[in-house]
Amino acid sequence: MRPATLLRAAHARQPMIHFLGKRSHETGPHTPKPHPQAPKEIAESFQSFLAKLQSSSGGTAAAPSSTPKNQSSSGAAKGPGKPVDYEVFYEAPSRLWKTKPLEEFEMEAIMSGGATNVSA
Amino acid sequence: MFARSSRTNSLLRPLSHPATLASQRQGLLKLVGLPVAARGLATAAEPYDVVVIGGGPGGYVAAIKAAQLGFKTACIEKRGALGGTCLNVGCIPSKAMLNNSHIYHQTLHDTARRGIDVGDVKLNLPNMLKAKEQSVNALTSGIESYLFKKNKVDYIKGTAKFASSTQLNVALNEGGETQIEGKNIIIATGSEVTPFPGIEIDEKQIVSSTGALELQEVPKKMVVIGGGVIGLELGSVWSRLGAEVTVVEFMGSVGAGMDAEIAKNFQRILTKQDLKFKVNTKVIGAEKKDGKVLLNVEAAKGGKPETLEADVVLVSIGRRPVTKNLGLEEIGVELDKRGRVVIDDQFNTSVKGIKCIGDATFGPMLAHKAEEEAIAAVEILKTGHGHVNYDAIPSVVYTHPEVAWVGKNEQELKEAGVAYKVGKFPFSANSRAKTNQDSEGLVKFIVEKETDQVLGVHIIGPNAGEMIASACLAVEYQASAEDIARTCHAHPTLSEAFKEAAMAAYDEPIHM
Repeated sequence: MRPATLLRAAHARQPMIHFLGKRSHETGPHTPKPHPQAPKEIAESFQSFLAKLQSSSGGTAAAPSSTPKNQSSSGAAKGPGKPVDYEVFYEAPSRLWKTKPLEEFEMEAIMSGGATNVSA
Repeated sequence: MFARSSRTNSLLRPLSHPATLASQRQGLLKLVGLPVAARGLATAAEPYDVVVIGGGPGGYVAAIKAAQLGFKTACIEKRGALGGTCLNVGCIPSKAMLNNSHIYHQTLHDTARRGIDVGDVKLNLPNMLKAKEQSVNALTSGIESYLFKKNKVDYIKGTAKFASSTQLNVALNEGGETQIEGKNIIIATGSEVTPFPGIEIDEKQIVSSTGALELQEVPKKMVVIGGGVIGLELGSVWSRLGAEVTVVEFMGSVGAGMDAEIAKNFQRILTKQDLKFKVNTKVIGAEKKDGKVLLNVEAAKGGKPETLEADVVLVSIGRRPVTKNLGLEEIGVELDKRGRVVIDDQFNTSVKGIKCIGDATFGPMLAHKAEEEAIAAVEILKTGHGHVNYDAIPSVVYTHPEVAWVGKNEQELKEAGVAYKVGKFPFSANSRAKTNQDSEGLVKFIVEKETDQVLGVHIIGPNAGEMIASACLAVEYQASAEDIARTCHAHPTLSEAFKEAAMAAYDEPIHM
């Protein structure tokens, strides 16, 4: 540990400055609140805003990278093997719609009619 | 006989996939036990994770942060240059003009007493405007050519309008239209000059802040409508360059939002610099006659009509959010009566997946506030939480002397019924300010009476805009005046005035 070069009468005074350091974060779900800079009338009618937000059929509330796998915003699992409905395709698991990029040799094969990749 | 190699076999997998963008647009997409995705030549265009509308301090910062956090990001800007009002026609060009006009004014009027005899000093306004342009171009192009490229942000030059809550139609600046899709869209469209009812801005004789930064000659007489930050900064510029400047303010004092004591000092100092003030005065209308603008004013309470003649009138009564023609109403994004986008505490609008930051929503219209919100909004997308302390957002007026403040002022604390103490220290008692022969102004601390916690700091004086950063840290970290007073500050510096004002708040200063 680095030795302190501090001459402080700690028994007489403790600094009030409160360094928060690396922020610790709440882990539970966030409860929406009015914006702290919102005018009074907006804050007072926040419940109607919230109702509008929750009933809106917009995009995903968060990007997939932060959305747990079992929390699709519109997909509703109906059991194994049963149909699943999604409003937008990217809400489905990416394996269902994300394609592998073409590799160079494949493009060459396509461009040349595939003959170069055919062996006797 | 031909035989397929394993590589060729891989080419013969199905080429199409039902999960295309087109099928998504047609309605609900039903996926039933599909196999692992195949390679397709006409694959669905994967939407952006984050699309930001607006490339100002809120928008471009949000885009860069989003890209840094791993989001596939696009930023749409219609101006053709990034940086928004701030970099193009606001903070940056005005600072170039403020700095250079100050040097000119000081060279003209303030060198002899410093032992410097200067010969013929002339203003070369075209070159001063050119220097301003160079600063602007360097900064705006740096965002596009360096920051966006480095962080892999797709930059789309065009005007965006919501087609749906996830899709934007973009009229491209170079012609044509494209559609961009985003899982999350951030509105960061900023603000524009509020027009004065009945007075049409032509940007030649009757100008906004944009036109006031482009005047091709120094007006003999200039009238500024509005004694706020923008009006006083630009009024100062043209006053230093030789214009006779009169500021008309409806309220009883200048410097909106400023602590009353500081505002009074500020007006006194600016008056000494030959700016004229007409406070408690309202503008009735304006007419152009014989190359002049005649501005009709009267007392705010009515009566005492008067006509002010000017070569140029600057309209600087405030700014309003840019939220029109974005298609917000059509998709259900709620606006308040002032046209601001209504948001919750995580910047969510009333439509899922759409957030709003900066001047287009609540809070002070400041570039650095928009930047804080930009980072917080994107972090919320990534992690579910973000941080903006609205009590620790500084305000600065870049006149000379500068005025800067953060936290609460005395009026606000009185209204809130908070018991407080005040500590002040004048720059006239600060050694460095004295040696610089630049000692007008003071530092004022306002601390909670019971705990000594710093609630607000208000500074008028040289370099106040830089000094306020220490006060922001103090407010952010809940420091007491004693914490600051017991922190060593270098001698001889202006910052010693900051320390001594903190001492004055909890005990007594040494040099006063």
